Amino acid sequence: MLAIIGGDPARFAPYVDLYHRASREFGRQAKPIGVHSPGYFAATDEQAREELWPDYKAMRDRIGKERGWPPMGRDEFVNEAEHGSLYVGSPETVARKIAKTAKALGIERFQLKYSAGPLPHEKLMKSIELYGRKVVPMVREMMG
Amino acid sequence: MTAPLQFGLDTFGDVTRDASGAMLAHAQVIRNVVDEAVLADELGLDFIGLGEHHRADFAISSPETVLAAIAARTKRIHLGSAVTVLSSDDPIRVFQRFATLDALSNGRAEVILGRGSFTESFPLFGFDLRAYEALFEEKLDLFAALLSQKPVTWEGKLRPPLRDQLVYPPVEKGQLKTWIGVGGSRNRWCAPRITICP
Repeated sequence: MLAIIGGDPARFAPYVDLYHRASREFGRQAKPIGVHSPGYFAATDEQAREELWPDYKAMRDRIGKERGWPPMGRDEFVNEAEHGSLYVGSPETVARKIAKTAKALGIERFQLKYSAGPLPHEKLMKSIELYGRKVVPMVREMMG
Repeated sequence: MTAPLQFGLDTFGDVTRDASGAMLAHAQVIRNVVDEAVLADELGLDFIGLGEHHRADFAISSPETVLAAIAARTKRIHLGSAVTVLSSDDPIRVFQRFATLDALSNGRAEVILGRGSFTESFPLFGFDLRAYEALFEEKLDLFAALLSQKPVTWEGKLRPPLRDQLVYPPVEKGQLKTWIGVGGSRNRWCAPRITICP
Protein backbone atom coordinates (compact mmCIF):
# COMPACT_ATOMS: atom_id res chain seq x y z
CA MET A 1 0.00 0.00 0.00
CA LEU A 2 1.66 3.17 -1.24
CA ALA A 3 1.04 6.32 0.79
CA ILE A 4 1.17 9.03 -1.87
CA ILE A 5 0.42 12.25 -0.03
CA GLY A 6 2.07 14.80 -2.30
CA GLY A 7 3.31 15.27 -5.84
CA ASP A 8 2.47 13.51 -9.09
CA PRO A 9 1.34 9.93 -8.35
CA ALA A 10 2.89 8.72 -11.62
CA ARG A 11 6.35 9.27 -10.13
CA PHE A 12 5.73 6.12 -8.05
CA ALA A 13 5.73 4.00 -11.23
CA PRO A 14 9.43 3.09 -10.82
CA TYR A 15 8.66 1.69 -7.33
CA VAL A 16 5.89 -0.46 -8.77
CA ASP A 17 8.19 -1.64 -11.54
CA LEU A 18 10.94 -2.42 -9.02
CA TYR A 19 8.52 -4.47 -6.94
CA HIS A 20 7.40 -6.49 -9.96
CA ARG A 21 10.99 -7.10 -11.04
CA ALA A 22 12.05 -8.14 -7.53
CA SER A 23 9.08 -10.52 -7.28
CA ARG A 24 10.05 -12.17 -10.58
CA GLU A 25 13.68 -12.41 -9.54
CA PHE A 26 12.78 -14.15 -6.28
CA GLY A 27 10.23 -16.40 -8.00
CA ARG A 28 7.32 -14.94 -6.07
CA GLN A 29 3.93 -13.91 -7.35
CA ALA A 30 3.48 -10.16 -6.90
CA LYS A 31 0.77 -9.15 -4.43
CA PRO A 32 -1.79 -6.43 -5.19
CA ILE A 33 -0.66 -2.82 -4.97
CA GLY A 34 -2.85 -0.05 -3.56
CA VAL A 35 -2.65 3.71 -3.17
CA HIS A 36 -3.60 5.81 -0.13
CA SER A 37 -4.09 9.54 -0.85
CA PRO A 38 -6.00 12.42 0.73
CA GLY A 39 -9.13 14.02 -0.72
CA TYR A 40 -12.55 15.56 -0.25
CA PHE A 41 -15.60 15.63 -2.51
CA ALA A 42 -18.46 18.15 -2.88
CA ALA A 43 -20.95 19.13 -5.59
CA THR A 44 -18.54 21.46 -7.40
CA ASP A 45 -14.77 21.89 -7.57
CA GLU A 46 -15.06 25.33 -6.01
CA GLN A 47 -17.20 24.16 -3.10
CA ALA A 48 -14.91 21.20 -2.37
CA ARG A 49 -11.79 23.36 -2.42
CA GLU A 50 -13.29 26.16 -0.30
CA GLU A 51 -14.60 23.72 2.32
CA LEU A 52 -11.40 21.67 2.53
CA TRP A 53 -8.76 24.41 2.33
CA PRO A 54 -8.80 25.92 5.86
CA ASP A 55 -8.91 22.57 7.65
CA TYR A 56 -6.43 20.90 5.33
CA LYS A 57 -4.05 23.78 5.91
CA ALA A 58 -4.60 23.59 9.68
CA MET A 59 -3.72 19.89 9.69
CA ARG A 60 -0.72 20.27 7.38
CA ASP A 61 0.67 23.26 9.26
CA ARG A 62 0.30 21.53 12.62
CA ILE A 63 2.36 18.56 11.42
CA GLY A 64 4.65 20.79 9.39
CA LYS A 65 5.55 22.84 12.46
CA GLU A 66 6.95 19.68 14.09
CA ARG A 67 8.83 18.65 10.96
CA GLY A 68 10.21 22.00 9.90
CA TRP A 69 7.98 22.51 6.85
CA PRO A 70 6.86 26.03 5.91
CA PRO A 71 3.12 26.82 6.24
CA MET A 72 1.06 25.55 3.31
CA GLY A 73 0.22 28.21 0.74
CA ARG A 74 -2.92 28.28 -1.34
CA ASP A 75 -0.79 27.87 -4.48
CA GLU A 76 0.61 24.57 -3.20
CA PHE A 77 -2.93 23.39 -2.34
CA VAL A 78 -4.18 24.24 -5.83
CA ASN A 79 -1.13 22.63 -7.43
CA GLU A 80 -1.70 19.43 -5.43
CA ALA A 81 -5.37 19.45 -6.50
CA GLU A 82 -4.57 19.98 -10.18
CA HIS A 83 -1.31 18.08 -10.66
CA GLY A 84 -0.53 16.26 -7.42
CA SER A 85 -2.11 13.72 -5.10
CA LEU A 86 -4.92 15.69 -3.47
CA TYR A 87 -8.27 14.32 -4.75
CA VAL A 88 -10.41 17.38 -4.04
CA GLY A 89 -13.29 18.46 -6.26
CA SER A 90 -16.56 17.50 -7.87
CA PRO A 91 -17.30 13.81 -8.49
CA GLU A 92 -16.32 14.20 -12.17
CA THR A 93 -13.00 15.84 -11.36
CA VAL A 94 -11.92 13.34 -8.74
CA ALA A 95 -13.17 10.32 -10.71
CA ARG A 96 -10.95 11.34 -13.62
CA LYS A 97 -8.02 11.80 -11.26
CA ILE A 98 -8.51 8.42 -9.54
CA ALA A 99 -8.83 6.62 -12.90
CA LYS A 100 -5.67 8.31 -14.14
CA THR A 101 -3.69 7.20 -11.07
CA ALA A 102 -5.10 3.66 -11.24
CA LYS A 103 -4.10 3.34 -14.90
CA ALA A 104 -0.66 4.91 -14.39
CA LEU A 105 0.31 2.58 -11.54
CA GLY A 106 -1.76 -0.55 -12.26
CA ILE A 107 -3.22 -0.63 -8.75
CA GLU A 108 -5.99 -2.85 -7.42
CA ARG A 109 -7.21 -0.56 -4.64
CA PHE A 110 -7.56 3.17 -4.06
CA GLN A 111 -7.92 4.28 -0.43
CA LEU A 112 -9.09 7.84 0.10
CA LYS A 113 -7.89 9.48 3.32
CA TYR A 114 -11.21 11.27 3.73
CA SER A 115 -10.72 12.98 7.07
CA ALA A 116 -8.79 16.25 7.07
CA GLY A 117 -7.92 17.63 10.48
CA PRO A 118 -10.82 19.57 12.03
CA LEU A 119 -13.16 19.21 8.98
CA PRO A 120 -16.52 18.34 10.62
CA HIS A 121 -18.08 14.87 10.70
CA GLU A 122 -21.20 16.05 8.82
CA LYS A 123 -19.08 17.17 5.86
CA LEU A 124 -17.11 13.92 5.91
CA MET A 125 -20.39 12.00 5.74
CA LYS A 126 -21.45 13.99 2.65
CA SER A 127 -18.08 13.36 1.01
CA ILE A 128 -18.36 9.59 1.71
CA GLU A 129 -21.85 9.61 0.24
CA LEU A 130 -20.65 11.27 -2.99
CA TYR A 131 -17.79 8.75 -3.16
CA GLY A 132 -20.14 5.78 -3.01
CA ARG A 133 -23.00 7.14 -5.10
CA LYS A 134 -21.21 9.20 -7.77
CA VAL A 135 -17.43 8.80 -7.85
CA VAL A 136 -17.14 5.00 -7.73
CA PRO A 137 -19.59 4.36 -10.63
CA MET A 138 -17.82 7.04 -12.71
CA VAL A 139 -14.37 5.57 -12.11
CA ARG A 140 -15.66 2.08 -12.94
CA GLU A 141 -17.00 3.39 -16.25
CA MET A 142 -13.73 5.18 -17.03
CA MET A 143 -11.72 2.05 -16.24
CA GLY A 144 -13.91 0.08 -18.67
CA MET B 1 -5.25 -4.38 -14.61
CA THR B 2 -5.59 -7.89 -13.24
CA ALA B 3 -8.59 -7.30 -10.97
CA PRO B 4 -11.32 -4.64 -10.83
CA LEU B 5 -10.32 -1.58 -8.86
CA GLN B 6 -11.46 -1.60 -5.24
CA PHE B 7 -12.45 1.56 -3.40
CA GLY B 8 -11.58 2.23 0.21
CA LEU B 9 -11.59 4.93 2.86
CA ASP B 10 -8.91 5.73 5.43
CA THR B 11 -9.03 7.90 8.53
CA PHE B 12 -6.85 8.48 11.56
CA GLY B 13 -9.84 9.62 13.61
CA ASP B 14 -8.78 13.23 13.02
CA VAL B 15 -10.20 15.31 15.88
CA THR B 16 -12.94 17.44 14.28
CA ARG B 17 -14.85 20.55 15.27
CA ASP B 18 -18.62 20.89 15.67
CA ALA B 19 -20.89 23.49 14.04
CA SER B 20 -19.95 26.09 16.65
CA GLY B 21 -16.23 25.56 16.01
CA ALA B 22 -15.52 23.75 19.30
CA MET B 23 -13.32 20.67 19.12
CA LEU B 24 -15.12 17.38 19.80
CA ALA B 25 -14.03 15.01 22.55
CA HIS B 26 -11.83 12.15 21.33
CA ALA B 27 -14.52 9.71 22.48
CA GLN B 28 -17.14 11.40 20.26
CA VAL B 29 -14.75 11.36 17.29
CA ILE B 30 -14.30 7.61 17.74
CA ARG B 31 -18.08 7.08 17.76
CA ASN B 32 -18.39 9.25 14.64
CA VAL B 33 -15.79 7.11 12.83
CA VAL B 34 -17.99 4.06 13.47
CA ASP B 35 -20.94 5.90 11.86
CA GLU B 36 -18.77 6.88 8.88
CA ALA B 37 -17.78 3.24 8.38
CA VAL B 38 -21.41 2.09 8.62
CA LEU B 39 -22.33 4.60 5.87
CA ALA B 40 -19.41 3.34 3.74
CA ASP B 41 -20.70 -0.23 4.13
CA GLU B 42 -24.24 0.80 3.16
CA LEU B 43 -22.85 2.48 0.02
CA GLY B 44 -20.99 -0.69 -0.99
CA LEU B 45 -17.46 0.66 -0.53
CA ASP B 46 -14.85 -2.09 -0.27
CA PHE B 47 -12.61 -1.13 2.64
CA ILE B 48 -12.23 1.13 5.70
CA GLY B 49 -8.77 1.61 7.16
CA LEU B 50 -8.02 3.21 10.54
CA GLY B 51 -4.56 4.55 11.25
CA GLU B 52 -2.80 4.21 14.62
CA HIS B 53 -1.54 7.45 16.19
CA HIS B 54 -0.56 8.52 19.70
CA ARG B 55 -1.12 12.27 19.69
CA ALA B 56 -3.76 14.88 20.51
CA ASP B 57 -4.93 15.59 16.95
CA PHE B 58 -5.88 11.98 16.13
CA ALA B 59 -8.35 10.01 18.30
CA ILE B 60 -7.52 6.45 17.23
CA SER B 61 -4.63 4.73 19.01
CA SER B 62 -6.16 1.24 18.95
CA PRO B 63 -7.59 0.69 15.44
CA GLU B 64 -8.70 -2.91 15.89
CA THR B 65 -10.87 -2.02 18.89
CA VAL B 66 -12.79 0.51 16.79
CA LEU B 67 -12.84 -1.98 13.89
CA ALA B 68 -14.45 -4.58 16.16
CA ALA B 69 -17.33 -2.18 16.82
CA ILE B 70 -17.60 -1.53 13.08
CA ALA B 71 -17.58 -5.29 12.42
CA ALA B 72 -20.67 -5.68 14.57
CA ARG B 73 -22.60 -3.02 12.62
CA THR B 74 -21.56 -3.87 9.03
CA LYS B 75 -21.94 -6.79 6.66
CA ARG B 76 -19.63 -6.51 3.67
CA ILE B 77 -16.94 -3.86 4.01
CA HIS B 78 -13.40 -5.06 4.72
CA LEU B 79 -11.81 -3.75 7.91
CA GLY B 80 -8.18 -2.81 8.29
CA SER B 81 -5.55 -0.66 9.89
CA ALA B 82 -3.84 2.14 7.95
CA VAL B 83 -1.34 1.53 9.36
CA THR B 84 -0.46 -0.63 12.36
CA VAL B 85 2.94 0.55 13.60
CA LEU B 86 4.49 -2.91 13.76
CA SER B 87 7.90 -1.60 14.85
CA SER B 88 6.58 -0.50 18.26
CA ASP B 89 4.15 -3.38 18.73
CA ASP B 90 4.40 -7.11 19.42
CA PRO B 91 3.94 -9.04 16.16
CA ILE B 92 2.27 -11.94 17.99
CA ARG B 93 -0.24 -9.61 19.66
CA VAL B 94 -0.91 -7.85 16.35
CA PHE B 95 -1.63 -11.21 14.73
CA GLN B 96 -3.92 -12.24 17.61
CA ARG B 97 -5.88 -8.98 17.53
CA PHE B 98 -6.47 -9.12 13.78
CA ALA B 99 -7.26 -12.85 13.87
CA THR B 100 -9.88 -11.99 16.50
CA LEU B 101 -11.23 -9.18 14.29
CA ASP B 102 -11.32 -11.64 11.41
CA ALA B 103 -13.43 -14.00 13.52
CA LEU B 104 -15.84 -11.25 14.59
CA SER B 105 -16.24 -9.96 11.01
CA ASN B 106 -16.49 -13.35 9.27
CA GLY B 107 -13.24 -13.01 7.36
CA ARG B 108 -13.18 -9.28 6.62
CA ALA B 109 -10.01 -8.32 8.54
CA GLU B 110 -6.92 -6.95 6.82
CA VAL B 111 -3.80 -5.58 8.43
CA ILE B 112 -1.57 -2.94 6.88
CA LEU B 113 1.81 -3.00 8.60
CA GLY B 114 4.06 0.05 8.58
CA ARG B 115 7.14 1.58 10.11
CA GLY B 116 5.23 4.64 11.27
CA SER B 117 5.38 8.11 9.76
CA PHE B 118 4.97 9.68 13.19
CA THR B 119 7.41 8.63 15.91
CA GLU B 120 5.43 9.07 19.16
CA SER B 121 4.88 5.32 19.60
CA PHE B 122 8.61 4.59 20.02
CA PRO B 123 9.26 6.44 23.31
CA LEU B 124 5.68 5.70 24.45
CA PHE B 125 6.20 1.94 24.33
CA GLY B 126 9.89 2.00 25.21
CA PHE B 127 11.50 1.40 21.82
CA ASP B 128 14.65 3.04 20.54
CA LEU B 129 13.94 5.18 17.50
CA ARG B 130 17.51 4.55 16.33
CA ALA B 131 16.43 0.94 15.71
CA TYR B 132 13.62 2.16 13.37
CA GLU B 133 14.61 -0.14 10.50
CA ALA B 134 15.87 -3.11 12.53
CA LEU B 135 12.65 -3.25 14.59
CA PHE B 136 10.48 -3.29 11.49
CA GLU B 137 12.54 -5.85 9.57
CA GLU B 138 12.72 -8.35 12.42
CA LYS B 139 9.11 -7.98 13.52
CA LEU B 140 7.91 -8.30 9.94
CA ASP B 141 9.95 -11.49 9.59
CA LEU B 142 8.22 -13.00 12.64
CA PHE B 143 4.79 -11.77 11.52
CA ALA B 144 5.31 -13.38 8.09
CA ALA B 145 6.18 -16.66 9.82
CA LEU B 146 2.93 -16.53 11.84
CA LEU B 147 0.84 -16.15 8.67
CA SER B 148 1.47 -19.79 7.73
CA GLN B 149 -0.53 -20.87 10.83
CA LYS B 150 1.81 -23.81 11.26
CA PRO B 151 3.95 -24.30 14.38
CA VAL B 152 6.57 -21.54 14.23
CA THR B 153 10.22 -22.02 15.06
CA TRP B 154 11.89 -18.64 14.83
CA GLU B 155 14.91 -16.81 16.12
CA GLY B 156 15.76 -13.12 16.07
CA LYS B 157 17.86 -10.57 17.94
CA LEU B 158 15.14 -8.58 19.69
CA ARG B 159 13.28 -11.27 21.64
CA PRO B 160 13.76 -14.85 22.87
CA PRO B 161 13.39 -17.58 20.22
CA LEU B 162 10.19 -19.54 19.58
CA ARG B 163 10.01 -23.29 19.13
CA ASP B 164 7.04 -25.06 17.50
CA GLN B 165 4.83 -22.23 18.71
CA LEU B 166 1.17 -22.01 17.69
CA VAL B 167 -0.70 -18.72 18.06
CA TYR B 168 -4.42 -18.45 18.79
CA PRO B 169 -6.98 -17.92 17.48
CA PRO B 170 -6.05 -19.18 14.02
CA VAL B 171 -7.61 -17.35 11.09
CA GLU B 172 -10.62 -19.39 10.03
CA LYS B 173 -10.19 -19.38 6.25
CA GLY B 174 -6.91 -18.97 4.38
CA GLN B 175 -4.32 -16.48 5.58
CA LEU B 176 -4.80 -13.11 7.25
CA LYS B 177 -4.76 -10.54 4.44
CA THR B 178 -1.62 -8.51 5.04
CA TRP B 179 -0.27 -5.42 3.29
CA ILE B 180 2.87 -3.41 3.85
CA GLY B 181 2.38 0.35 3.99
CA VAL B 182 5.20 2.38 2.45
CA GLY B 183 5.76 6.06 1.79
CA GLY B 184 7.66 7.85 -0.90
CA SER B 185 10.32 9.45 1.25
CA ARG B 186 12.50 6.39 1.51
CA ASN B 187 13.59 3.86 -1.06
CA ARG B 188 13.44 1.05 1.46
CA TRP B 189 10.66 -1.27 0.48
CA CYS B 190 10.86 -4.41 2.53
CA ALA B 191 13.26 -7.26 1.88
CA PRO B 192 12.09 -9.47 -1.02
CA ARG B 193 12.81 -12.60 1.01
CA ILE B 194 9.74 -11.84 3.10
CA THR B 195 6.80 -13.39 1.27
CA ILE B 196 4.14 -10.81 2.05
CA CYS B 197 5.83 -7.76 0.52
CA PRO B 198 4.38 -5.28 -0.13
